[in-house]
Parts: sequence; structure tokens; C-alpha cells
Amino acid sequence: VIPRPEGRSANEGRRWLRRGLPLAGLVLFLASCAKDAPQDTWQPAGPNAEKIDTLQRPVFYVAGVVLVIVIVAVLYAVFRFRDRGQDIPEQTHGKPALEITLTIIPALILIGIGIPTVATVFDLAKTSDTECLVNVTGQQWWWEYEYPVQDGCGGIEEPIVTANQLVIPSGQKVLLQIQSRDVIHSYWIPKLNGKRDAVPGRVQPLRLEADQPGIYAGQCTEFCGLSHAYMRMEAVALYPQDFETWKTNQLAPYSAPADGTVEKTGEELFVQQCARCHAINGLANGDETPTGTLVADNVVAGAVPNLSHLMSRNTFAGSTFDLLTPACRDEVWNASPEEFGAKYLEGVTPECMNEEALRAWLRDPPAEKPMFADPENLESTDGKYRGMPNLGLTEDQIDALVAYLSTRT
Amino acid sequence: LITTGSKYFLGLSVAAFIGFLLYGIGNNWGAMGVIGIGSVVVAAGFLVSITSYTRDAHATSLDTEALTTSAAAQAPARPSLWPLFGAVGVTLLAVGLVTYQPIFMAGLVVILYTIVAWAITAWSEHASGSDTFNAEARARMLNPLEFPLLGALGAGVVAFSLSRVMLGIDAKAGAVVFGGAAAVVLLAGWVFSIKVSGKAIAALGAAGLALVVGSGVAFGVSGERDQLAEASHEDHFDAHHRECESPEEQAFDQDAARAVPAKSSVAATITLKDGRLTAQVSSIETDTPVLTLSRGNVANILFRNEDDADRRLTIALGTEQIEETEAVAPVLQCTALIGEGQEQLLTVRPTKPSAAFPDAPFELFVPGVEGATIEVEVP
Repeated sequence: VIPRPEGRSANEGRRWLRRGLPLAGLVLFLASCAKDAPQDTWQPAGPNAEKIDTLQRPVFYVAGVVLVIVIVAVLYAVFRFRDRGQDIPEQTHGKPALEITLTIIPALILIGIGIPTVATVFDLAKTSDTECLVNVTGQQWWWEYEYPVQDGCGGIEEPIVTANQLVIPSGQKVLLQIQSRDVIHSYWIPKLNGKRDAVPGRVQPLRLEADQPGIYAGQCTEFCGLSHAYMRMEAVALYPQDFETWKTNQLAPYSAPADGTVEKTGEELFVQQCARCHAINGLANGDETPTGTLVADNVVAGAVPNLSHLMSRNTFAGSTFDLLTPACRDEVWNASPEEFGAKYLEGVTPECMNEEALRAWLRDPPAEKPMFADPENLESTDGKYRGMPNLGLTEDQIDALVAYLSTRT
Repeated sequence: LITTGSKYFLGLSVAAFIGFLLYGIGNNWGAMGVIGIGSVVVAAGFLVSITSYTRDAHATSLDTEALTTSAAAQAPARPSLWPLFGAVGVTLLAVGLVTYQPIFMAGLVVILYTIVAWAITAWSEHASGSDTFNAEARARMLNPLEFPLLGALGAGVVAFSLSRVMLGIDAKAGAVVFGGAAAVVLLAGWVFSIKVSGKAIAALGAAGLALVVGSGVAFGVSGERDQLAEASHEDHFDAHHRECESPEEQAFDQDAARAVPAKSSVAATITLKDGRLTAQVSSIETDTPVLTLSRGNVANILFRNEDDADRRLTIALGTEQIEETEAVAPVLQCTALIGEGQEQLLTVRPTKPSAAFPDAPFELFVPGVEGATIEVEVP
């Protein structure tokens, strides 16, 4: 028997419990009032999320009423009939009328919930009126977005590949074709729709549509390994005319830095150190092959983020880190729908660049985000990495790489 | 004095120890197998010590009465075949270690069955003074194990025999033979249902089983039919050796059906009609002039042939260096030849971008149909 600590009685413990439990409940309740909650499922920002919201609110209210009734009934029974030494009441068995009533009422409630649920499920699965198609691929621990050649999305004549931030035209029915290159992930932008698993070898459709321009945050919701918690995503909605500008920028030809500049040194370093995995469209290796073509030999997933227009997106490393300083980030996130497109399309300007985060990443990526990237410990993956290894760059090399990457707008 | 029980466990521990050494050396001391067999050695050794202490220790050469009266000294009621079974199991185990894993597994099953069945049989023979009761006790304990095992073994032998017949017989003749066999089985079932004695059913069943197994052995000895043997010999089933540019070659098509289960997750549907190919990406109603495939992702492409001739769909995904040479060969994958109105799936996983092969553009095409091509982009 463990002796009770001196000075603390059983009654004292109960007293703490009585005070602590309501306090914990209050904290939980107040947490629901948070203003800065970008993944709040109760604030739909598109028709698909609206459909889910329209379904979940009445279900929540009905479930809430049932919960209150059950709790009150249980508490009443517990206190009213608690053991006070009285005789055991008369024992009866069976009360058909009551039992039938208590069976029919929940059945009716379930039917009442079930019919609109099934209708909503079918409604959300509709994809025949798609206006824009995006291939979304999850891998440890980031998301890739690929815009295939199509008439949709305002017409795309060359594939566009980007990462971490999904850019879509607002007011258009966008269909994501979700896949995975390694393990099961799950794609979820709560304000735009429900979640959909990314399963290797399967194509899973998910419809997104945003009413207004803005950034909508999401999070991988299927445990997928070491950095699952850092596998985030952001959907960026732009007015169709801004989306056209974004497309044009993504397809802009490669602009090489001027000879003799630190950016040029950075480009050479990129080819030496980074181009085995990372691609930059238009940049060639020494043997004239495109950069990034050997990625399948080095990385388990067979893909890493395309860095052609790194500074056109606000985040990096699976949306774990901001490329914008906190002040500039707030400006973009809090911009009105009318101003948002212009703010976002500015990209990462030199004065807004979160250089500290980028430098820390280049210095030692696994120290910033847990990854399976220790060269001494890759036997189980046949020498391939899951994530980015520490390249052992010097501070001068980091300076040059940051200078070069900052020109990838 | 070492009694029968101790001898058994002693023998088992020695055999397990030999197996432990053989397995360990043969498999470079792979962890799981070594631990498994090592556990048997330890367990058997433990049982030797227990039996020696609890039974043998009390039976000395001076205790002559124990030699005849103790339970351990009682002779089995009848000659035992279990040592033979055990020896077969150990032999299979040893042969399996140096040949094929299934033989090793079979040896393991035989040994496990021998251990359980021998132990229960030995117990049942001394369960009472009545042989009838003892036999019933044994049956109650062992039949639930023996019947499923024998059933599985019988079904396996029949299935294996039938598979040898199917691989040996001509494909078209096979359809006739097996159709006829099914009709005979149906007819026999109908005849049995009317009124036939149990002995007649047993005799017919035994004859049928002998026919199936005999045919299986005969075809197994004579080998697969020429077409399959040739395809296997020339490695037609290997994806690299498929003649994807041929509008006629069919040898490797025997192996084409493996891709069918992925039909529920189609990335694009490619249709051949009026001498041209059209591509429709799932969920987009209009045709696309260029098919975009994700790098490193599996893509299932459904080919639909609306042409009146047998056609196949081929995808060209650049080139690759032939092993141990400087030469390069095109990377091609294709469906089987399919007839008009038929569909087949082509599963691809491009690992390199199309931009890496400026001289070998990625495309879908139909061999033998000029101009039936669709550009493929892998970003």
C-alpha cells in the first residue's frame, strides 16, 4: 500500500477534482472561441464546406439536446436513487411500451440524419461539372501540385508544378485528383471541404471551391511518419484574372543570374549540391540534362519540391516555415478579398523575406524538421532519404544559395 | 535409466540443434529463423531436464519394478509410425533449407503435426484399459486437426494436378476438356442424388481422384505446352522483352491480365476510333490533346479499342541504357492485343521527366495505325 502523503486527505483530493474538472471544461469551451483558428470547420468558405456545415449543424444540435437529456437523466438517477440504506425497490422485467418508444425515437432521429447525410455524400462526390483539374500528390512530408495540360483552369498548355501552396481560381469548381507516392496521407482544407485520403496507386477525387480570394490552411490528417505534424498545406484562392497572372508567372522562362554576381555563384552551387533532387525549370546540369532528373535514385518518394518559382509562394518545407516575415505574412493573410490577389502575387520581396528561417533550413534541415535523412542510417531504404539531409554547407555557400533562391520569383 | 519420453525430447533437442546450426549458417544467422529454432532447442532441452528429473530420476537400475510398472515404461499399444513421420519432417526441413522455402514450410508443418499427434496418441494409448475408449479419445482430440489438414492437402493436390493439366494441354482443347469435365461432374452429382450406394460413390470418387492426379503427374512430367515453354524460354513475360511495337506478336499477351484489378482507379481513358486516338482524363468531359502524367506516381490508363482489327496501346517513355553496355533502348510498355469493343488497362509509373529526353518524346501510340498518337508530358 502506498502511504498517503502527509497533509493531504481523500477529501482534499476530491475537492481539487471538483474544482479542476469544471475549470478544464471551461478552458475547452473557451478554446472554441479562438479568433485565430484557420482550420475551423465551423467557418465554411466555399459551397462544398457549406454543404457539410449545413449537415453538421442540425446534427450537432440534435446530438447536443440528446446529450443534455441523457446527462440530466443519468445525474437525476444517480442522486435521486443513491444508496441511503433504503430497501431495494421492486424489481420488474420488461416494459414493452417504453422499450418500443425508446427504440423508435432514436431510429427516427437516425433516419432524419441519415437521409440528408447520404444526399450530401452523393452531392459532394459529383465531379462531372469540373472547371479546373489539379493533380495533388502527397509524400513524406509535403504536398505537390501539378496542373496538367487542359482546357480547364482558363486553359493550360504546359504542365505547371508547384509545392506546398495550392493556387486555385475563386468561384470555380476545382477537382483535386489526390495520390500518394509513399504512404497514406490525407488532404484536408477544413474551410473548403472534407478530407480525402491519399492512397498509393489510387486516384482519389476531391472537389474544392472558394467563394472569395484568400488563404485557407490545412493539415495532413493521416499519421504518415516522423513529421506528420509538420505536413501542412495552404490553398490560395485568386480572382480568375489574378490566377491568369499567376499561371503566366509560373510558365515564365528561366532567367539566369548575371555572370560574376553572388547569385551566379549560388546557381553554380545549386547545380552542384541541390540539382540531383531539386528541379528548376530551364536550368541544366553540366551534361545538359535538366535538373532534378535523378531524384528517384536519391529519395524514397521519387520527388522533391520544384523550386522554379520558390519566391512566388509564402512557405517552404511542407508549409512548415514561412518565407515571409511575420508582419508581411499578416498583411497577406489579413488582406481584403479585393486586395488579396495583388498582395499574394507580389511574392516574397527582399524586404519581406524571412531569411533567418531559410538560412536555418539550409544550415541543417533535419534539425528544423524531423526527417529520415541520416546518411549513416539508410540501410532500410536502400540508401534513399525521406526528407532533406544536412548538406554541410558553409556560411558563404548559404549566402550564395539564399541570394540565388531569392531570384526564383 | 533414460525412459522413452526423455529419449524423444532428447532426440528432438539434438535434431533442433542441428537444424539451428544448419539454418543459422545457411541464412547468415538471420534473426527470426535462428530465434525460432533456437527456442525449440531451449524448449526441448528444458523438457529433457524436466522428464529426466520427474521420471527418470526415480527409475534406477536397482528399481526393477519400475522398469515394468511405471507409466513411462509401458509399451505403446501398437507399432508407431510417428518416428517415420518425424524423420520425413526433418528431411523436408533440411532439404527445404538448401532448396525452396515451401519445402521447408512443409517440413515444419509435418514436424509440428508429428509432435502434437504423437503426444496425443501416446497419451490416449494409456488413457484407460479400454482400447475402444482410447481410440475414441484420440479421435476426439486429433480429428479436428487432421480433417482440415487432410482436406487442405487433398484440395491442394487436386488444384495442383489440374493446374499442370491446364498448362500442358492446348488452350482451345483445354476449354473443351474442362467444359466436358464440368458436365460429367454435374451428371455424376445428379446420378448420386437419385440413388447410388455409398461404396459406388466412394469407388467413383477414388477413380476420379486417381484420374485427376494421374493426369497431373503425366502433364507435369511432359511439361508446359510449346507456346508457354517458348515464351518462358525466350523471356517474353519480362516487360523489357515485350514487342510493344508489333501489331501482331501475341506470345507475351498470355501474361497481360495482371493489371486488370486496378480498373477502379483510372487516370485517363484512351480510345482508338477511326484511325485516331483520343484521350479523356477522368472527371473532364472534353478530350485532351496532351496527356499529363505525374512523375513517380502510378497511373492506370484504360485503352478502349473501337477499331475493327485487334490492336494494342503502347507508351514510349524515353530511353534507358542497356545493362553493362553503352547502348540505349527505348522504354516501351503496352497492353495485350485486344479485339473490337474490348478494353485493357496499361499501368505505368514514369520516374523521369519528359524534358530529360528531347530526342525521344513521350507518347502513346497504336502499332500498325499511322498517326494514332497522343503526346505525353511528365513534368
